[in-house]
Amino acid sequence: MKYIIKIISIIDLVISKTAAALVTIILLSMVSFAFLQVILRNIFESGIPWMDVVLRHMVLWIGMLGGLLATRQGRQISIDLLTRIPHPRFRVILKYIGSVFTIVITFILARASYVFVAGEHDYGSTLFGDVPSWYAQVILPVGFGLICLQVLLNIILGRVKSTESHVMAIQPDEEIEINEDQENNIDEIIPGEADSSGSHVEEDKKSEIESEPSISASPTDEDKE
Amino acid sequence: MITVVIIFILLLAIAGAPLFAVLAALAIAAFLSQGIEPVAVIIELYRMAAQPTLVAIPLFTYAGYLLAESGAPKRLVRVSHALFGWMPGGLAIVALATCSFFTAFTGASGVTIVALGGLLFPVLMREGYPEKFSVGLLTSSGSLGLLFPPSLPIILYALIASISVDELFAAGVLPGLLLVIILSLYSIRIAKKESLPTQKFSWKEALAALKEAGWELPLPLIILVGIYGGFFTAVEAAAITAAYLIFVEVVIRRDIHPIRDLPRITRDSTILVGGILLILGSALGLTNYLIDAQAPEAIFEFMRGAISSKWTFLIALNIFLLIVGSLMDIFSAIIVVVPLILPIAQEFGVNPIHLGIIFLTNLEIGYSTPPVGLNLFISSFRFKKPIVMLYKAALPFIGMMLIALMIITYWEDLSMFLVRLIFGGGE
Repeated sequence: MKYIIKIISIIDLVISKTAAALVTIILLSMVSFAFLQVILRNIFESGIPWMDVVLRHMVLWIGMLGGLLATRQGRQISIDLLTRIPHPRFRVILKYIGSVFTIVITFILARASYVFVAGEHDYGSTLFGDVPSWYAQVILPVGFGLICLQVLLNIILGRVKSTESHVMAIQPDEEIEINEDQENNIDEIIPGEADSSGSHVEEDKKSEIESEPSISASPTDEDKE
Repeated sequence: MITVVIIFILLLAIAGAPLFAVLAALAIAAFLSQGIEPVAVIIELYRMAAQPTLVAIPLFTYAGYLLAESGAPKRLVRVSHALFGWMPGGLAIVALATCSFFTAFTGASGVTIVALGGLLFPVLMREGYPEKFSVGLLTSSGSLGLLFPPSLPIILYALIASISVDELFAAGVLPGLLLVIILSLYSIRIAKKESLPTQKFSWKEALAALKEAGWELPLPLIILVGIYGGFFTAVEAAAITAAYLIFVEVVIRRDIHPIRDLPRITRDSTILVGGILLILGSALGLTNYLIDAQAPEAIFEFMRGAISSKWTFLIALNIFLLIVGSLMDIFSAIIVVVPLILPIAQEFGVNPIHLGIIFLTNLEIGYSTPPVGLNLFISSFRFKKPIVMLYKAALPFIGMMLIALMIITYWEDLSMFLVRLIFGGGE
């Protein structure tokens, strides 16, 4: 049993690390390509005609893979009204129900997008030139399939049990201190404010991949001037 | 049968199931009830990839994350302190100015309170501002600046409503300033009442602070001049901003380490983008179904019984949107509500650009509206204060913002003036 859990958490880690690496590469190349395109268009009055199509599909990939990462961290956007109720047990039950529901829906979506992409493949539609569209579209079934799997992994690995509501996911545990070390002039505080220990919010103890809060106020500053 | 299914799915939504799954489920159910396969949902979702503005979303989000993780918040606080510190209520105005600048780039996802709250709160307290005032100020400032370019909600609204991003950017500037000014006046009054000390203006400090923030400060100007000077589009502005910030924060300022920090920040920004895009994609199916089923027309017919004029419609709209704004985050609210409201508003003769500004202002206020506005919760965690205290602290600020909302709603020219000035005509 222990081995099975171990294998499952390795799978979980491999998926999220791969997705994180991919998404980083894609976004950084998006910035470079889009910037290159601006320069080509404005300075050399040319530009790569198929670049815009490629950029838009890169957004699609970022969306699906980013959605996968958000699912792993329990940070999908939700209305989250009842989960703001401070009743941990109740919250966990609701989270389980929501997870099962998400598994069912993403499974249907994965199947539907497979049908869609298979259709595009058979039809032979192209992105630009003779690059087939399905090269880019394949992220739809793969993405929804992985999100479906990820929710399942979250249940197995006990992440759903976490009692924190998603609002807390934005909270860094950097302390705000009002007194003592800050009684000097504001001009001195501002450059050298406390370097916070880029601490984490997610209760995700099993892996080391997210050791930082994703929305965090804590750039470790040593004032490098 | 279908009604039962829909009610069940809506209950799941309130229970906190991911919104994208809820929207997709509703779309699947709606299509199935008409005998259409779920693949229709995917076809609608894929239409996203045909939207040129789409590329601006990850790029501006990324820019906001870079700014948040760098030392820019500190430099911005220093600069505005040097510039406004001499005024009565100066420090509160500092908070308002920096929060607006910051939110314009980070798009009000709670980042502002987290990043700037920790910097500003101790300083406000030390200078003698009442605690309740300080907390309320930072809570409501958490979404201030939504109306300034290049804020993400503006881009998203323009994308959904198919209006020009450039025009909506221009429309937001004056109403955004109005909000900042009204809150500043209120802060000055409080500061005078508490007779808080002011600082002397120092040219030396002002110049030093300006120089220190010299790389980040020109950004809004670059974007505005670039877009309105006709040098580049909103999408190109996004690319330039992101590339510029990587260059400044990694190479020049070295706030962000290229190996330790950059990949993490890049990844983190895609998590927010992923959340938004999944909702956007799955909502496209549902809203298209509803529009095909002529739902807006039905609502309009229904409303016409009770509401006859544009003005009463706007009042009803404001109340409705404040409730929506306190329940949903701004991105989902725009994605889900705009397609339904827009045709109705046009029937009542509301200009789509003006509607956008009303819409965003409402959601901005909804963020800090009790009992469930998101900013209240973020502040409650951030400042470690009970939520009930935040309700009380936020109230006067909500009051001020509601006054601004009334002005924005009923004075169309405030939103349209710059649009007409820059683009001529008006529509």
